[in-house]
Amino acid sequence: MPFLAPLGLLLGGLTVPLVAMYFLKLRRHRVKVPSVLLWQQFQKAERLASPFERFRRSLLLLFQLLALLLLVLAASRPFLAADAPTTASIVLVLDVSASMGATDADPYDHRLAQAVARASERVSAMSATDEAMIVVAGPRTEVLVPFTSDRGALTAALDGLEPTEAEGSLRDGLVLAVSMARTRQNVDVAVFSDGGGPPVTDVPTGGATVSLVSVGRSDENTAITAVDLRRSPSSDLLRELFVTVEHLGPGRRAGDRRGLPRRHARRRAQRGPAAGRSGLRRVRDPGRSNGDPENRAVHAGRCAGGRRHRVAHPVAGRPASGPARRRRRAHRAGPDGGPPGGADPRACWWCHPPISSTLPTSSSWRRATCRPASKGARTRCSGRCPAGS
Amino acid sequence: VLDPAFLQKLARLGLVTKKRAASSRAGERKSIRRGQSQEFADHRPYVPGDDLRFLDWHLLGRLDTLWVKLFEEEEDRVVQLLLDASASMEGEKLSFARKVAAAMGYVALGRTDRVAVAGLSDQLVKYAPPRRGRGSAAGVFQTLEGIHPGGTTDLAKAVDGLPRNRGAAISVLISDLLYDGPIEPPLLRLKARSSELFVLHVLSPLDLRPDLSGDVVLIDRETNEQILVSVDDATLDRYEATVHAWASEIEQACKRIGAVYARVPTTVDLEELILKDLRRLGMVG
Repeated sequence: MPFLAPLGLLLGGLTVPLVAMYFLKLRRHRVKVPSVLLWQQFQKAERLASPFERFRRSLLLLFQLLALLLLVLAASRPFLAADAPTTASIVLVLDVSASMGATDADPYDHRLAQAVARASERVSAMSATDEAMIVVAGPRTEVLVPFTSDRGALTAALDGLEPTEAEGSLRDGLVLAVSMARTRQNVDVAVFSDGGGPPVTDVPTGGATVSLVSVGRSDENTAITAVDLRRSPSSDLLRELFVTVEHLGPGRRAGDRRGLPRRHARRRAQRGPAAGRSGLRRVRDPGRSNGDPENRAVHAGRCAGGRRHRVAHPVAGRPASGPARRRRRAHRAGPDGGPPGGADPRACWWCHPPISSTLPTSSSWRRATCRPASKGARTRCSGRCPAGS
Repeated sequence: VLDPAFLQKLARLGLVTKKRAASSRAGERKSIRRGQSQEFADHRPYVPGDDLRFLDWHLLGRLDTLWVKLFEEEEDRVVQLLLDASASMEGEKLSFARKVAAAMGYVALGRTDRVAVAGLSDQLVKYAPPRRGRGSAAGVFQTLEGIHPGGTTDLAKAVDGLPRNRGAAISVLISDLLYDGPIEPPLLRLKARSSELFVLHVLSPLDLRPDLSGDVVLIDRETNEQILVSVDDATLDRYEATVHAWASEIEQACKRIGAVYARVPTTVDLEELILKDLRRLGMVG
């Protein structure tokens, strides 16, 4: 074992004064006792009990010598010749497009959260000399964290990621990642995506190993691609809301609202109270905000009065009793406990309004749902509901 | 040496003897000899020359044979106070031993016994011949005061040096028994010359659990022998156990010999010791 500072070994000479001090220290406290007879007996018994007792006295010296030797060794700075460790580099490409907000695989975590979890695993598996870079492929493609071996910074950046509300180009992200990878050797490019969008297999990898970590369960994707609020041509007070819903992916999804992304579902909930419930909603000054922009968007086209309205669902209303309650319950849960709305979930227009590529805010909705609140006001079903309530 | 109030309490006591023994003077203890006391002991056939006063006239009248009545003889006993005067007794042990000896001596003098005092180390260092009567108490105390510590312990040699008294004595050995050698032979020799042997084993806190800590050199007061020990609480606990084992070994030896053994730590109250502990052990009564 060679030494960087062999002169440090000279410090080993300190052992001499240490041992000398140990012997000087042996001037013990002297005590006169009536007789050492009992002590001799005691020591004999002790020695029989533990034969190593006599070594205990010098144990302290041994420890001191050992500590000194270690210090001397450290001072002389020994080293071992070894090959320099190879550095591995990873480029983590994370897709943050809107489809990464889907919660199909896990209802509590969107796809991006899962992707971040997988990426964090890669980061924590890195050795101290490994380096990683994070590239975000969303509406903008950018290098979030340049090559670094600081795992804390990488993890912090990953944790701060949120899915955007826009389309993203995974291709741009991959191109950027591969171009960054060219600066080094042995680069691993890991793409975390749900695989939506056009294929990216034609991007030249340039020697880097590209792997796809796919998250999400299916590529079924229904998206609101456009929202437009316009003044109604028929009246100054009315507004028309246009929502373009696009279904991406191989399957068909006509007319079924369930399975839409959560944001769409929320909008639906704001249209009126949940099935079987009644609620009170104050709507005033259509077209103007009353503090809740959603409120404006949803209600502007429906309520013209600016007064308090009792928004009543056709199947809701006052608590019913007897056969009416039974019918209503059947309507809510379905006769066999299935989806609400009875045998055909799409049969009830109120519970499951049809979806087309454009959803105009319907005037019939306004007429049917909003009635001036008056005592005993109650809306009846249009008759199309199979429950017949 | 002793408090007058305590002496008054001692005046009611006496040393207990269980065996008969012969002596040279009249006293209160039963002798092996027949003699002149009021207490009837036995009959024996008349031989010419016997005192006719002791002839049993009732027997002669009834059986027409000559029998002589024998009576118990009551004699005194010599109490030997054997005080260990070796260097190991120096300090509180010797002063405590002196007090115990004085108390025992006073008890003995109160019952017409004669009291002899001896100081023992590697030989007999001091000896006061037997004295009698409560008037001699001052002399006994003085002799005890005159015993100073010094020298090593050689119990066997010191016991051999004791002058012989006529008859068996009551021996009271007050010592720490820190004696480098077998303890049984000298005790046995002492017992052979005494009707009763009381062993009062005096131990000071310095023997039982010395107040030491760390690395110390222990120096023997008697031999100046040095010994290195590293002391901590655990060591002291084990040492104390060793001391107790040693003391109970001596107690067993005393029991085998037939001596009465009492362990007397110097921390106990003297009055309590004499009036309660020794009474319970059957030394005084």
